[in-house]
Amino acid sequence: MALLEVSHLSINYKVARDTVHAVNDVSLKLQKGEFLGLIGESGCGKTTVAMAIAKILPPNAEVIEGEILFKDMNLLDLDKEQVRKLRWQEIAIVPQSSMNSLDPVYPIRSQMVEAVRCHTRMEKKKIIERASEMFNLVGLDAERLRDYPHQFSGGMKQRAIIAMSLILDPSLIIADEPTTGLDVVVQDQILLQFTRIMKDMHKSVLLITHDISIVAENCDRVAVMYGGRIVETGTVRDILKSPFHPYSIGLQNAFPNIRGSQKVLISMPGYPPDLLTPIQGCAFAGRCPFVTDLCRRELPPFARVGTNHYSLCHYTDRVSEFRDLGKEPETWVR
Amino acid sequence: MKKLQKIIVYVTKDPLGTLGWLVIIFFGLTAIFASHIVPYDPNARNYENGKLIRLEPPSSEHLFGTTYYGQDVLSQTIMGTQVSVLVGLVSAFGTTVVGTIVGLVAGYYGKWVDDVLMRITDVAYGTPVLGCAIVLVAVLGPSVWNVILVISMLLWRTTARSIRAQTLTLKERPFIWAAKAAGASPFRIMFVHIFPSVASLSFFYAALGVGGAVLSESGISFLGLGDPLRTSWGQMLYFAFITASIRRAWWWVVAPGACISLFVMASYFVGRSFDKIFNPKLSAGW
Amino acid sequence: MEMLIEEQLNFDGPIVEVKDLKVHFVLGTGIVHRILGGEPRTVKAVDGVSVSIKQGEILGLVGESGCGKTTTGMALVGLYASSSGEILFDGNNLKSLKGKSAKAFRKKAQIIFQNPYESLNPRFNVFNTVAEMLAIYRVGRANDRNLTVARALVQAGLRPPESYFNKLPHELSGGERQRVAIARAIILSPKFIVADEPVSMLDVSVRAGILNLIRSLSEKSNVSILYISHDLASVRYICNRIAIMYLGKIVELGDTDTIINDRLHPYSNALVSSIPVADPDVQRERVAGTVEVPTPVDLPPGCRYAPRCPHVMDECRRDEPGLREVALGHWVRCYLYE
Repeated sequence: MALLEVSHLSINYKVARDTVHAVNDVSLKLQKGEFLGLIGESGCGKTTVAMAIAKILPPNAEVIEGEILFKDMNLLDLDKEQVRKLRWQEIAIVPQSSMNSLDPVYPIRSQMVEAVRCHTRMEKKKIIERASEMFNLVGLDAERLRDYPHQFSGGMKQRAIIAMSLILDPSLIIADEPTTGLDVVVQDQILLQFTRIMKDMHKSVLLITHDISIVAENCDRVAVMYGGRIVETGTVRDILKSPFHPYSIGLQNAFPNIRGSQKVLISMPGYPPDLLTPIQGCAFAGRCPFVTDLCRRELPPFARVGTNHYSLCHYTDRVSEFRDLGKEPETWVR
Repeated sequence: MKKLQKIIVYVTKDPLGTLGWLVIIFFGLTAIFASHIVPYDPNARNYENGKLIRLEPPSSEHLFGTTYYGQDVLSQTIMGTQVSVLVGLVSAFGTTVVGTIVGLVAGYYGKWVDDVLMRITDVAYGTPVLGCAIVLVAVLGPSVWNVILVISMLLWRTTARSIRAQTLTLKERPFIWAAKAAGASPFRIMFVHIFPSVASLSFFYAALGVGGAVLSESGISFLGLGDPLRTSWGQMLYFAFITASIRRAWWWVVAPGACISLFVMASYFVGRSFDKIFNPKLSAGW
Repeated sequence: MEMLIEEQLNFDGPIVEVKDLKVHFVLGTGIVHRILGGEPRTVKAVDGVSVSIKQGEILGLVGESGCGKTTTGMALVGLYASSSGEILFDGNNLKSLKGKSAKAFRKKAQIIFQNPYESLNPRFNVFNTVAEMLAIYRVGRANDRNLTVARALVQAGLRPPESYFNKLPHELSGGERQRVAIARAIILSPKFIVADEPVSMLDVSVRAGILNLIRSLSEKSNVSILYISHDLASVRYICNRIAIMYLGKIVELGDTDTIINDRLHPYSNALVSSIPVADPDVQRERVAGTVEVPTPVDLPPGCRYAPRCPHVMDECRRDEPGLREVALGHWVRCYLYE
């Protein structure tokens, strides 16, 4: 039984008089102890999915359809009290730029205590004990709990947030761009520690990022999002070595590599769709070099292309042609 | 022209802003056509059957009643619009221009220029308007222009502080660095690059300044320091006061009082509507 | 002065030459401290950088936050004043440029900033933004300007150019805004451009286009570029040479291939080995060394990297090593190679 199962989730935002169709028919599964990477660019809906699972959607968001099953409970059906118990004890989220979310006028200690007390009636002493344990776990000196956020560097703050999320021993951790804004050396160390801790404690992790190399090194499975939809899911090896969806194929060309021979960087023309109007047909049709009328008319099926490997495309049978052509810069010229 | 249409459409979406504009336009027109629309000569004493119509409450002949001296209150109110509009507009213009320039220069140059200008601003802050008015009028004599002078000399201080604060933030933004890298002169950076982003603030303070100027003028005239040759709302209140008629003749007080209040409120609403006008989603480049 | 510039235009040497550049920012000091004769605390953002940039080359300046790379870039285009050292542009010392020669410098040296959402004036439309230098230097008349601006936009990859003239920044995507910033920089055909992390705030699928554009600009128009970034992978993609900075000093300088494959300095090693690889078959070798990057204030004596270096020796903590040329064009600042 999967720890987390999202089925056909659709979420809209109401902005002024417009509706943004941020998430469209998203389904994914996370097994216990698994690391699932959710990758996509800005505006693809990945953060919205994370917020929906963590139950921190803003008031102007509306879940149109779908289910989020966590340990056989539908999170969308829970009342406030049940959600409060769930948060942090079962599901913890490390939001984007969370290092900036620490209140500058309170020491870290009191923020941790306050946060934990919102969800459970633990004694202050016990909370601080746990916090110290977690601090040590992430490589921070427990003495520093008394410090103020400005006395911590960016990397240390991020570690503190990660420690905070682990205090109540949740089973699911959602990390949204946990290392954006951090220097590469610090990023590497934090990710290393994070992955090690999570694996040791048998936690399940939903890692959200735009950086495919982070996913490649730290995740077991990947879901690629584009225009509010999941366009491909599979193991890391599947997505990186044998991508099926043209967007995944295109992404390969977008990352310069530091090792191996120099490759030609090819950018995909155009930009992600604005989600104000519901898109008929494939979300990637506007930028796909292999687009046909069918793509524009009909929503593609979520086709099975391998064991637990799926691609949202009408032409999965032409994938070798796509992969070959995808390597040529001319293919991507409008 | 299309831009003007767009602006009007956008502004009218805000009911208060629209109301403000209408009130101001109404007062403006009244001021322009004052001499043509007054039912009576504002200074003339009115008699009936040989007897002075003193302190008459509103009636069909005198819609706003009469003063202690038998003058028609409505006519005086209409005439008073001229002084208010004149003082309001001219002072507001003066204070805004001075305040914006001081704010831009102090904010952009910083260091000693900022220090000097801000100390001068502090002096302006510390000087009470009415006190200064008393001194100036005693020295230079009472006239509309001296009133405008006092107001302009002091009320630029709020605009200056505010524009300076905005400028301080803006000058560190990359697009200003880009302008410097392009070789733009400090003058160009201040007035072509920074000013458009602070313009809505300037206009906001200008609008508020109109209201503030009218209030100040009313206060100065109420003390009897106003121009004796011109009727103004404040002056009407002055006469009502010195003839001990404030309690007795509510019409003489309400008319100018209501006008002052309306005018100031309207100027505030107009000020707020400027933000919509200067929103970059509407305007298209300078 | 005019004659001097003319002469120097035929100058065959490097377009930019930096000699022991230092940019120090003074932090506020308390009165008591000052009275007692204490030195004001300074942030030594750039503390002795020497490098030269050839005509038509793309030099990468790499390092983490706080290393001084942005400060260096800003100093090279004259936006930050140097505290000491020399910056020679086309043979002329930046400090001695006044009036006409200063204007000539501005026309020839430009900068592109990191944040495309902040580097365009929100009230200017694209035309006015790009034509800014034309307006400042009164180049051409109204009709000519349309053409020049259009040409710059096309060079920056924005087609059709006229459709962009009246657009405001908020109507453009991040990638488009950055292209407008590039068009603004290239309109008067500069010889040198500082590109400060031009793609780090852009979506991944858009970065390639901007990187390719920068590369082709240099190749086609022989423009020299100082490409500042913390992302070694993109640096490798477009740069001819790479300089690695740490806490205000260059610690290694060499050809791209040399730095990527035969790097010597322990910090360069740490940098390269920290970069995640998008290949599940590759096992990355991580280099030891923790501790966060300190800020360039109150630095202890000796090599700046000593506190983090896995190969630290006694002499490292005593004096700073100098930048030595260990092979042709390959410079390293480390006692391991002296």
